[in-house]
Amino acid sequence: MKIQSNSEYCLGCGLCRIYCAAAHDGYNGSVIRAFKKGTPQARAGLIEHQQQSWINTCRHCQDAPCINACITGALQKNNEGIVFIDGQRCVGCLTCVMVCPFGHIQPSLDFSRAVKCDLCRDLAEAPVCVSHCPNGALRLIEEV
Amino acid sequence: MSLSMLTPAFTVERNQDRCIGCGVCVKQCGNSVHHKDEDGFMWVIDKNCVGCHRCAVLCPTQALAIKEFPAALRPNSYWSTSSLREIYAQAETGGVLLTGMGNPRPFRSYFDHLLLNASQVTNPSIDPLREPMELGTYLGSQVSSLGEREKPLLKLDMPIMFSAMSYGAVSLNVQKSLARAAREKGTFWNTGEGGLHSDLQEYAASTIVQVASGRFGVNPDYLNQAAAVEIKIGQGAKPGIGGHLPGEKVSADVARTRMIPAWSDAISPAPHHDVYSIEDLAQLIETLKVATNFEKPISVKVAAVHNISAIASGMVRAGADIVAIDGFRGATGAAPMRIRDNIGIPIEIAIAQVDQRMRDEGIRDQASLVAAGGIRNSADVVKILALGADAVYIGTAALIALGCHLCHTCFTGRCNWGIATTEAQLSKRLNPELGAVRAANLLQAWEHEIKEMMGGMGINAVDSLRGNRLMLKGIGLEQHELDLLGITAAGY
Amino acid sequence: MKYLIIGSCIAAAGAVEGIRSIDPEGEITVIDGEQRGCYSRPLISYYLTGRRTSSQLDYRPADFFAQQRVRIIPGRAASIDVICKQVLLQDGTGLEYDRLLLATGASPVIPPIPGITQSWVNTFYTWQDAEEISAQTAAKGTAVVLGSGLIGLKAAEALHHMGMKVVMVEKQSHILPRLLSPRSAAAVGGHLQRHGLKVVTGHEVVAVGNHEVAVDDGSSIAADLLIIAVGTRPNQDLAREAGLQTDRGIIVDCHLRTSDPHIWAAGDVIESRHIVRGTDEVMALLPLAHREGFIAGLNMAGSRTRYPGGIFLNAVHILGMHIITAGDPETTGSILRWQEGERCLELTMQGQNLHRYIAINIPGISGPLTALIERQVKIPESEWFKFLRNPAIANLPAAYWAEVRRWQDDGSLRCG
Ligand SMILES: Cc1cc2nc3c(=O)[nH]c(=O)nc-3n(C[C@H](O)[C@H](O)[C@H](O)COP(=O)(O)OP(=O)(O)OC[C@H]3O[C@@H](n4cnc5c(N)ncnc54)[C@H](O)[C@@H]3O)c2cc1C
Repeated sequence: MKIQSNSEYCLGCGLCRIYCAAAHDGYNGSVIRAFKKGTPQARAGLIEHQQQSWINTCRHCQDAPCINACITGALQKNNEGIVFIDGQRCVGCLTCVMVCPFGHIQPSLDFSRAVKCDLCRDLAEAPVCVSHCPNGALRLIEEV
Repeated sequence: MSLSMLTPAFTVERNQDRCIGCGVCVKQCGNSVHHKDEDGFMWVIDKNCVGCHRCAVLCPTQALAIKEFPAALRPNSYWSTSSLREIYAQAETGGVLLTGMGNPRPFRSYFDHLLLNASQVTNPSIDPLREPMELGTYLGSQVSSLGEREKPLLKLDMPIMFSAMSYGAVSLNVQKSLARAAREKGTFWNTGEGGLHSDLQEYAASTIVQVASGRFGVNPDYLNQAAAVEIKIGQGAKPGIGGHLPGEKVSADVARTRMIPAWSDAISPAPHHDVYSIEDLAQLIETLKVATNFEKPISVKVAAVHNISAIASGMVRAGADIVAIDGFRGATGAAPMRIRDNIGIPIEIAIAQVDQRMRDEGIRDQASLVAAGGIRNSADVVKILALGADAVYIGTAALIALGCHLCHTCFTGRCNWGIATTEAQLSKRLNPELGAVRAANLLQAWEHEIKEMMGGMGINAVDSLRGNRLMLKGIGLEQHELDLLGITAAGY
Repeated sequence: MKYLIIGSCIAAAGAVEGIRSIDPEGEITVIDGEQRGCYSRPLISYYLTGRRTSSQLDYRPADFFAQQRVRIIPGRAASIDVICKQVLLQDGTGLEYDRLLLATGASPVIPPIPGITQSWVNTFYTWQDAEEISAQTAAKGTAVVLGSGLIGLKAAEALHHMGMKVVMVEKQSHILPRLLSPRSAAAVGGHLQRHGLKVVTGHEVVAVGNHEVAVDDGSSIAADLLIIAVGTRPNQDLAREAGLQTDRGIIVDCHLRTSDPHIWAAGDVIESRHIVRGTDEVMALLPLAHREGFIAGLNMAGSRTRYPGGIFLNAVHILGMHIITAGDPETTGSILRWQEGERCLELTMQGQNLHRYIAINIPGISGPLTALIERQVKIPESEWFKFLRNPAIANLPAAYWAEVRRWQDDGSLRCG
């Protein structure tokens, strides 16, 4: 499973990142609360290049360099193919950040741990970036 | 000019308790209303706002409200605020006022003065969920004399088609959306006068192609791959005048599709220069029939004007298989405001009159009648069918389904919804995959509603609704209006 | 099929995963020399600072080996009989194998300094080291750390956290000599000093007395604890004695097989190909150890997967400073720099190829840079100049994004 970003229809509005940030770190999807009171962090980057834009998010690689490089075993793949970080195990060494060829994994704002897209695996619905993309530029595709 | 007397039309109110400074509004506004400083300060230029609501709809915290600018001029029921604004604008520019979409003025809408019937006791109503209900209809000439080959017909699964909107006036993604929806729902979309883009050839069997006064994109393949050919004489938003697509909108892609040089003005003359009479029209119709080997129904589209019934009668006699009439609420990508707002007649009256005239003359079955211009919902569809139309064209409603907020600034080419634009950065805002779903959903919803209304009337086929004016009663209408519509007042 | 693995840490875990991804049946035996299961060496510094308890050093969940149906034999391998395909343990037990993996890792180098084998002198390499140090630091005195490589630095940080006064002695002219350029080392050195760590560079310890360390400039430092962290050396005696080809580390082919067709080797114990330098190096790095282990495991189970090699790469955080560097530590190309306060990025170019980067306090950008070095994508300096105006992922040169698209299109992306 991974999110496919179609630059043909990506508007570069960045709503994906806003809803992503509000969906994680305990903000429970409340955009206003997250941005007014907290320090929300999106799990996806927005890239704009030569009139095109797309989101840079995790490919949930089959042979993921981050899992391979993780020094604590915090990075894992679950049986749905989602690459995620076990927050209990992560010590924030950022080795995964160093080896992700897409620059997708990022340090948390206080640099104490790494954060990455987990395809909103704790939520019942589709990843929030997909469900909130106003132009259908993001899709969750099943193949790995 | 140093001083502009134009106050803003709208004001953008930002609720600071909600605004998170994300800047989505800044990025989405193509009119430079929203701004964000390096330090995160957000500010607006109200004057630039056209009221398209793109920012308000996309704002993730609903922090934006677009309101009418509170320019409280001294109340004057004759010199309205807008009439002052129009004069200020003209005094500044010296130009014709341009506008887009349909006539917004508060003329009487006859649809809103018509009521439908329903069965009670004396005849049974029909539950469309339990019993078959036929919305399929055929457009074209239903008469063929003995020995003559059968006339070509257009089969519609529901009596609703998408109006002509040309590539150039609307984005290719609009056409893709409508074409897909039309194919899926078994109906037709119309190229407008801008030719058929190569990306849309796969939808040719669901396409009606237009031949307009500019003859843009017309060639034998264009005509022959389509389901039907429509000669465009006029349109409801600007009867009597031609079209002018400015050179800067004629991108390489538009140029290829229209078969004209890129970046040159695309001028559609006011009349067809080979059609100055009914006889000339007959020749053009015959030419197109020959060019398509008599396999395509030929439609002729005109604006609803004063002597529409005589004109329509002539069109039928000239060989038109379909007579499409566009009422004065019909929309456009660009028209002089005075033309749009002051010319033409209501579609309800035009259809009632034309249907009656064709019946009186015994030519009703020689051609089908398609009503266009200002059909807002399924009840409007049912009413116009009962007044005599075989089917309707919807344009504005289809665009609204795709996101249009009727800001009336299509002519600027800077449509924030990616609809009335050919600019790549804007037209990508309409993903045709989503657009097709929305347009198809609209058709499906109306289809259900039409079946409900028909069932209520005890009618199980759209054929039995057509021209069935007994199903209509007028309310709040004068006698002469009831007479024109061919109906009686509620209570009779 | 009988698989035998000597060593139970990173490369071993990778190998078990590799074997099991192909062969769910085969019998796997792991010789656990430290009798501590599969734990992650780097976590011992977190153990000292208290961020990890001793039970939280595991690299894989506690039931990992059981889950993978692996038999664990505590003990140390004493020799390999390559003819009979048998490994003898120190207690005399013999273990037969069809396929053997040497995942014996490395051991700290003990420099030949007089007096170095005293009880208050420790290495910082195993969980036992960590527990011993932890027991000794109750005194809260002065600790001297010999060597300022990654391990020395992590030890120094941990001891500092525990309240000890720390002095680092580095023979080379700057700290983290294998990782940093002199200029970036100065920035890191300054950061350490500001936190109260003392750094002595360009000097050697010549003798160790009783709670006293003598430096080559004639001075001496009184200390309660001395940590040796001057480098590591592959544990390759077993291999050498069994007649396998070795050099600075065990020599393997591109399928990670040793000179004996039934024996593979992976992890810190081998020499492997440095992609950028084109030479064989001992690269004692955890990401490489796991990957090599995994590929060796695949190949032991019958696959013929190539191991392309790796590059040096390190992510170190010390007292709130994040240092990430990758590439060829000895590169001599032209240096492009960006600096803003405590954050700096240094790129070393050989023509259009990026050969090394050093990112201090700007970790987010590092992943793509690593990828560009590994794949030797050509990007002209002028593009890098533009990027360095505001180094962020979104501003990476267009060639990078074209490359990403290419990886996706042609499937050359090793990660799918
Ligand atoms: C403090 C510290 C911090 C580190 N930080 C990092 C870091 O941030 N990033 C990074 O990339 N790397 C880091 N490393 C290096 C990393 O730990 C090694 O690269 C990695 O552990 C190598 O894994 P391996 O499986 O090859 O060897 P090891 O983990 O060394 O495992 C080998 C095992 O084999 C056992 N063994 C050896 N000989 C025998 C025998 N004859 N019989 C039985 N068993 C035997 C050993 O006792 C050991 O348990 C760090 C190391 C230390 C000490």
